[in-house]
Amino acid sequence: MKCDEIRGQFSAYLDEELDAQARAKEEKHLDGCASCHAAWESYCALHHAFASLELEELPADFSANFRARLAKERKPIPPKKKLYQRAWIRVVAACACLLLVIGLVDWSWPSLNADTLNNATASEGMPTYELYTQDDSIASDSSAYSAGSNDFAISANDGEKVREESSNLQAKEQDMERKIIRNWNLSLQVADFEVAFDALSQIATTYGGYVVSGESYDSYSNAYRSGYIRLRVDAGQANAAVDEIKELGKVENQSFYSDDVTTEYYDAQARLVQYEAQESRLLALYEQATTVEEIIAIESELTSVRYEIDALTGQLKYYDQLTQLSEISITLYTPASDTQSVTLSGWSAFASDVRAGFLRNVNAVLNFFLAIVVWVLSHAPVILLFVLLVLVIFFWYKKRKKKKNKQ
Amino acid sequence: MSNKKDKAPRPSRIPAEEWDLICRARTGDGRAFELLIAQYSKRIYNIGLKMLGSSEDAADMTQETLLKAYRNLPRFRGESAFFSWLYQIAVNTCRDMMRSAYRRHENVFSDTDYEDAYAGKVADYAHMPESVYTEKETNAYLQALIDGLTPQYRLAVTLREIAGLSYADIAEVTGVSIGTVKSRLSRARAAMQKQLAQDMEQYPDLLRLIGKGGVKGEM
Ligand SMILES: [Zn+2]
Repeated sequence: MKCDEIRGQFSAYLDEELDAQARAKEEKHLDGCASCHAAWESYCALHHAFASLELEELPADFSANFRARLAKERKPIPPKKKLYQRAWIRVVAACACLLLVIGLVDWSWPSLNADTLNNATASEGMPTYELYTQDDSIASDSSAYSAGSNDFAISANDGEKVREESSNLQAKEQDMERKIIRNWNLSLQVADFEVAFDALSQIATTYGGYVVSGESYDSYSNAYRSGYIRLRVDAGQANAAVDEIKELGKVENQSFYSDDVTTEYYDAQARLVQYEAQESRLLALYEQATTVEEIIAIESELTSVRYEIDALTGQLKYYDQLTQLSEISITLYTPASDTQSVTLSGWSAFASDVRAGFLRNVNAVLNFFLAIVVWVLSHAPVILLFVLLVLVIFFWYKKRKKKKNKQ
Repeated sequence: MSNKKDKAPRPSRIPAEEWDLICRARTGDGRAFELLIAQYSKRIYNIGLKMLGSSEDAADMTQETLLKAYRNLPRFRGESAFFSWLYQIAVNTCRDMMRSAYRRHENVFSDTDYEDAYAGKVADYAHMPESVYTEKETNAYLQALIDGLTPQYRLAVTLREIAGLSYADIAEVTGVSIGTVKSRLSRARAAMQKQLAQDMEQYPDLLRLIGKGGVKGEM
C-alpha cells in the first residue's frame, strides 16, 4: 500500500514539483525499497528519452513565408483606451478651450459679436431654421428623402463588409453562435397618424418589445404631418413584426442592415473568463496574505480586476440586448388635418410646395456655410493666437521628452 | 497632447528588453516582432508537431499563432509572462485545428464537444502503427506514444516534456488548476509507461531506443 502511494507521486517527483516534506518521503522510501527503486529507474527512462530528443527545426521556408505574411499585415490595432486617453476627447477638449477663449473675447468686445450674429442670421431671421428644414425635407420632399435613405442603406452595408472581412478568419474557424445586430428602416404613408402611432406601440408589445422613442411634427406649410418612431422587438420575431407594420400603410421605402459583432462578443467573453480566473487567484492569495502591504497590494489588484469584469459584463449585456432585440425605425407621414388645400389644388400645388421647400433648403444651406466663413474670418486673430499657443506648448513638450529620453 | 501612447509602463513580470521589443512591435515594427518571437517559434512548432502529428499542420499552426499574437499584441498587458501568453494562443490554435480535423474525419454531424468525446479516457493504443517499431527511431516511437493519448493528456505531456514548462505555467496556459495538471501528467505517464512495458516485451529492440540511460538521476 505504501509503495503504491510512493509510485503515485513519481510524476510530480520527477518534475521536481513536490514540496520538501513529500520529496523527503519519496527519497527515504526509494533508498530503502528495492522494487520501488527499480520501478523509478524505468519510470525515468521515458522522461529522459523525451529530454534527449532534439527539437525539430522549422521548415526551411518558414521564416521567409512568415516575413512575407507579416508584411501584408496591417499595424496591430490598439485596444480602446481609457476615456481621457482617447484622441477625440483631446480634440473635443481643445475645441472647447478654443470656444471658451473666443467666448471670452466676444464678451469683452460685444460689437464684434453683434456683427457676426447679424451676418449669420440676417437673411432668414429665424435662428432655428436648420432644424425645421430637415423636417420639411422628410415631409414635403419625399423623393429626396428616399434617395438619402438609399445612401444610408448602402453605406451601412459597406461598413458591414469591411468588418466582416476583418473578423472572418477568427469567426469561421471557431464554431460559435453568431452574434448579429439586425435593424430595419421603413417609411410608411398612412391614412391616420394617431391610429398608426397606437398600432405601432401595440405591435411593439405584442412582439416582446417596447417603443424607444416617438416624435411628430407638422410641416411648415401645414400640408403634411410626419413622425418618427423607433421600436425594439424580439429579434426572433422581428420579421413578423416588420410584416405587420407594412400592413399599416403604403411602404415608400425600406432598408435593412445588420452588424456582425460575433468577434467582439466572444473576445469580450474570453477576456471576462480570464479576469474571473485572475480574480479567484487573487482571492486565494488574499487568504494567504500576512502583511498589511500584501493585503493592500492584492486589494488594489482586485479593484482593478473587478473594474474590468464589470466593464466586460456591461459590454456583453449591451451586445446581448442589441442582438436579442432588433430595432425598427419607422418614418410615418400623412396628409394632415389641412388636407383640403392639397386635394383641391392638386398636382400643381404639390409641385410648387416641393419647389418652394427645395429653394428654401438650398438657401438655408448656403447661408449656413456663409455664416461659418464669416465667423471663421472674423475670429481669425483669436484662432491664430490659440493655434500658435498650442504649437508652442506641443514643441516644448516634445523637446523636453527628447531630453528625457537621452538621459 | 501626450506622446507616450505606445510606450506603456512596463509590467513587473516582463523583462525590460522584452518589453521594449513588445512596444516596438505594437507600432508595426516587424523586425522587432521577429526578434521577440525568435526564441519561441521553434518550440511552438514542436508543440504543434506533437499535438497535430504532421509537419504541415504544425507549420500552419505556428504561422497562425504568430500572426494572432502580432494582431493581438496591443491587448497583451503583461498580466502573465509573454511566453505564457504566446503558448496560450498556440494551445487555442491547436485545439481549433484538432477540433475541425475531428469534425471533418470522424463525425461530421455530431454536436458533442471534441474533448467530451474522450471523457474519462487517458489513452488509446489500439491503433499503434507497426512502422514505429520497425523504423527503430526514438522520435517516431515517442510521437506514437503521445499520439495515443487523448487531447488533454497529450497537451499536458507536450507542454511538460517538449516545451519544458513548470506545472504553474502549464496551469496558466491550459486554464486548469495546478492539481489537475499534476494528476493529468501522472495518469498520462502511467498510460505511456504501461504501453512501453508491453511493447518492450514484444519488441526487445525498443530497450535500445528508450534505454535506461540517464537514470543516474538529476534528482
Ligand atoms: Zn516500495
